Amino acid sequence: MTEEKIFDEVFYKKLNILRAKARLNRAAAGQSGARKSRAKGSSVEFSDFREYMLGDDIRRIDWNAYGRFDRLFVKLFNEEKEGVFRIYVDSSASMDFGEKSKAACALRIAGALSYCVLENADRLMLNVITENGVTKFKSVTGRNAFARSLEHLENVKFGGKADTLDAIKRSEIKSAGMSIVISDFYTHDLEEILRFLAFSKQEIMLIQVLSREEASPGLEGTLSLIDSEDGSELKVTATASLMKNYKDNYNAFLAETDRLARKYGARFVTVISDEQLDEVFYRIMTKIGI
Amino acid sequence: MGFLNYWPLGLLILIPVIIILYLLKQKTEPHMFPSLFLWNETYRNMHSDTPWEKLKKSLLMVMQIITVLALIIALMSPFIRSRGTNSDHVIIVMDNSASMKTLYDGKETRLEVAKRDAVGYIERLAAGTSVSIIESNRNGILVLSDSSDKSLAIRKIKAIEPTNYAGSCEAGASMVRSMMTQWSSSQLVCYTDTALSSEYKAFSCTVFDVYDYSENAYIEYVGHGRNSDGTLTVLAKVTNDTGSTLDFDANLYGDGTIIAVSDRQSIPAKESAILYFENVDFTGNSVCVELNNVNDALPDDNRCYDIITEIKECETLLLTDKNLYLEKAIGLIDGIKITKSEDTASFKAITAGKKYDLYIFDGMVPDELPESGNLLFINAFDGVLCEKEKALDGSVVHTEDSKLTIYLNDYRFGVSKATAIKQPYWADRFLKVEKDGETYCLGAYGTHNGSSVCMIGLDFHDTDLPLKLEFPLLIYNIMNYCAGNGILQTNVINAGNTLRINPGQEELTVKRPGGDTSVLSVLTASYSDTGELGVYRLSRTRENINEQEYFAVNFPKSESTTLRSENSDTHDVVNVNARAAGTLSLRNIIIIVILVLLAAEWLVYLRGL
Repeated sequence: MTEEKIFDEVFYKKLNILRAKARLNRAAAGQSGARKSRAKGSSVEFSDFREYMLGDDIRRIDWNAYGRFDRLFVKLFNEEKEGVFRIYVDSSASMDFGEKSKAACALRIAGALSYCVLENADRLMLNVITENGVTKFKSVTGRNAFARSLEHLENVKFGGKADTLDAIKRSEIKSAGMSIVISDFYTHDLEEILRFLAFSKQEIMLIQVLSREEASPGLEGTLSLIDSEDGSELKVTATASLMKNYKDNYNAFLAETDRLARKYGARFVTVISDEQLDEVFYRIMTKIGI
Repeated sequence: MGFLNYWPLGLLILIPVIIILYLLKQKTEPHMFPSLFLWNETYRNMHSDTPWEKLKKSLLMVMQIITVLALIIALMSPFIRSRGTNSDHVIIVMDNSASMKTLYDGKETRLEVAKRDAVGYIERLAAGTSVSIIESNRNGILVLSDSSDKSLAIRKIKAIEPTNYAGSCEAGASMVRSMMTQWSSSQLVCYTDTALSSEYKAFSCTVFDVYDYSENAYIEYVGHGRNSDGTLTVLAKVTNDTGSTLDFDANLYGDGTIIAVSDRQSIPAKESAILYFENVDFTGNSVCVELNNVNDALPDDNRCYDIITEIKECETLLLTDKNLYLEKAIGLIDGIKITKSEDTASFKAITAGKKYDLYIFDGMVPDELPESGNLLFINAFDGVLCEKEKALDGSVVHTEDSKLTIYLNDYRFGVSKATAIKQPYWADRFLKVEKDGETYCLGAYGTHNGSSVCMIGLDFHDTDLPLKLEFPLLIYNIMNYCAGNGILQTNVINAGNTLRINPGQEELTVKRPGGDTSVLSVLTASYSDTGELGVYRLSRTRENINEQEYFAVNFPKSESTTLRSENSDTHDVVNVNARAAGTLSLRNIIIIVILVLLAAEWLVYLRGL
């Protein structure tokens, strides 16, 4: 990975802007917390009425309604729970590429999302997909944990060949929540990954990080392309037709990823590593539906 | 279709080289990429191409191979026969006269252009076509007869050398006629710069015309005169046949060494001028005038020779009483200046204070014989040198082999009356009469006191010999013996002309301008190997005295002219510049195809098809 500073001053300034705009109001499936849950609970926030049933807490009977309709109704309140956000960052060697590093881009996105999560008093579970499986960091909540989260992210080492599906399975998803997978998704197991996450009651967000070199490789002549993950080689002559073929494949790859994401109700965003972080983040937020 | 060259086939080796280069080209520099996920997919797509699409991947290589093949074919000079070479037999007449030495395009002579074109013509002939080649200058020479060996024919064409002879294809016409009789369907091809003569009108002939107008200046002749003070005045007539004023100077060489240089001269276009070298102190054998600073199409005629040693005429005094036969016969002989005396009294007056080279006594002798000079006694007897032996009547005279009876071997003629001569010991007999079992001498010759003496014991009026063809021949031989002190009858000729040599010479040695020497046989009466320009030396040894004479061979001026008449309409005249005549060359077409291929290759490379 390049030696550039990932979380620099510019990153923090942009976080302040994000702070005002980004509100993650989904994935409230954790323990009681500050986030409104779809589940009914004991918070002060009114949600609905329903007729009294045996066993209901009589303190919640709405006597005004009884006076008006002569029937017993109880007030329902939203239960406030914390959201659970799992962020998976792919640290395989293919992510450590590009003049504007895909790795840095992925980490910044992860950092920004972590900030939003923690700012909303939600629970953040950082996972780094590695060659050996997955590196799980202790789940954290509260803005005080942000610095520690960034520290984790800064220490991520990129390299090797990662098995994303295996890594996600190993992450032991025990509760519903939102899983955000940041990767280039050079895998044939994407559908399996999506199926597993959906089965695990996860809202899924796929953030595909690619470099400009991958989007438009400016290759010339005949080259021996070497896979950065497994070292395999492929001799190609960069003719215009080959490059067109590659571009067609590239677009088909994005389209297929998008199709699979839609199939499993996942949100899908493609990010080119040289894009501005705020633009990227707004696009992600838009996809999430803020 | 045929090909002129087959050596470019060797370039086919380039095709495997191209393929190998393409294979080697595959070794390329490594390039790291995040993942080959998409590339593998792309590669699979490309492998699923149809054969045509696979071909497209190697399109550049295929196009390069096609380009190389086209290049090889172009180098092989492919052609399609369009006309003129369908005959089974071709007669090529190559004019190698002096005018063919004219520069055709400033670089090559007309002959070189013609030879090159003829080589191409032969190469284009269908296999099995037989070729006859005639070299034509002053004579027609059959160089090759009816050969289907193309390489031999080409070698023969290439071996044809330019000559300095005046001539054209005309000299080969008779040979062509006889060949056309034998091979009536022959294709006749003439390479010449001269309009074909009427001799060729009867033939269908393709004329490859190597004539083009060229500017030429030349020396027409060189003459000289000896001044009273012993110095020479040499003159040269210079003709400017160019289209502009000729500015030049000239050198005068004496026996090969420069002895005078003229001032700068100017001659207007198409005019001639006389150039003088006066008071030249030179006593050698030959002079040569050469034009300097003249860049014309024919350099050989810028030089002209003259011999300044005079040919000696034989001063002859004829003492006769109206012997017309004899006078006429002697008058035919060059180099003899005759003075006639009709009686001994006038003879004495004429010879008073003057010596003659030859004295002829016909029927009478003076009282006193001259002290020097050669003597010819015809039916005249002084009683000392020429004595009577016996009077003979009605006899047959036989010739005997001798230098006086050249071409008259075993010849006989009748005589009504004659006088046998007493043959001196110093004389050889050349005429005899056999009668009554005896042999009598009727003619003898020999050298007496340094003089040639010849005796004939008959009066020509008493024989039938003057009525026969052999009479002037006999007189010529006799006169040549008696008067022929010199070797040559003329000393300046044009190249190719035959030099007449006084007959009856001893062995002659000829030294040519280039230094080669050759020996002429005893009976040689002419010398025709005069193709080399310059001064020749003839030498002989007579009575232990070595004698030398010189003659000069100049460029024939008829070959210098830049103008000529047009060819007959009946001939198919082809300017030799139209090299493809007789065939349609495909080379240019293929070169265009190659250019198109290269352009297409470039496009393919750019578009990466």
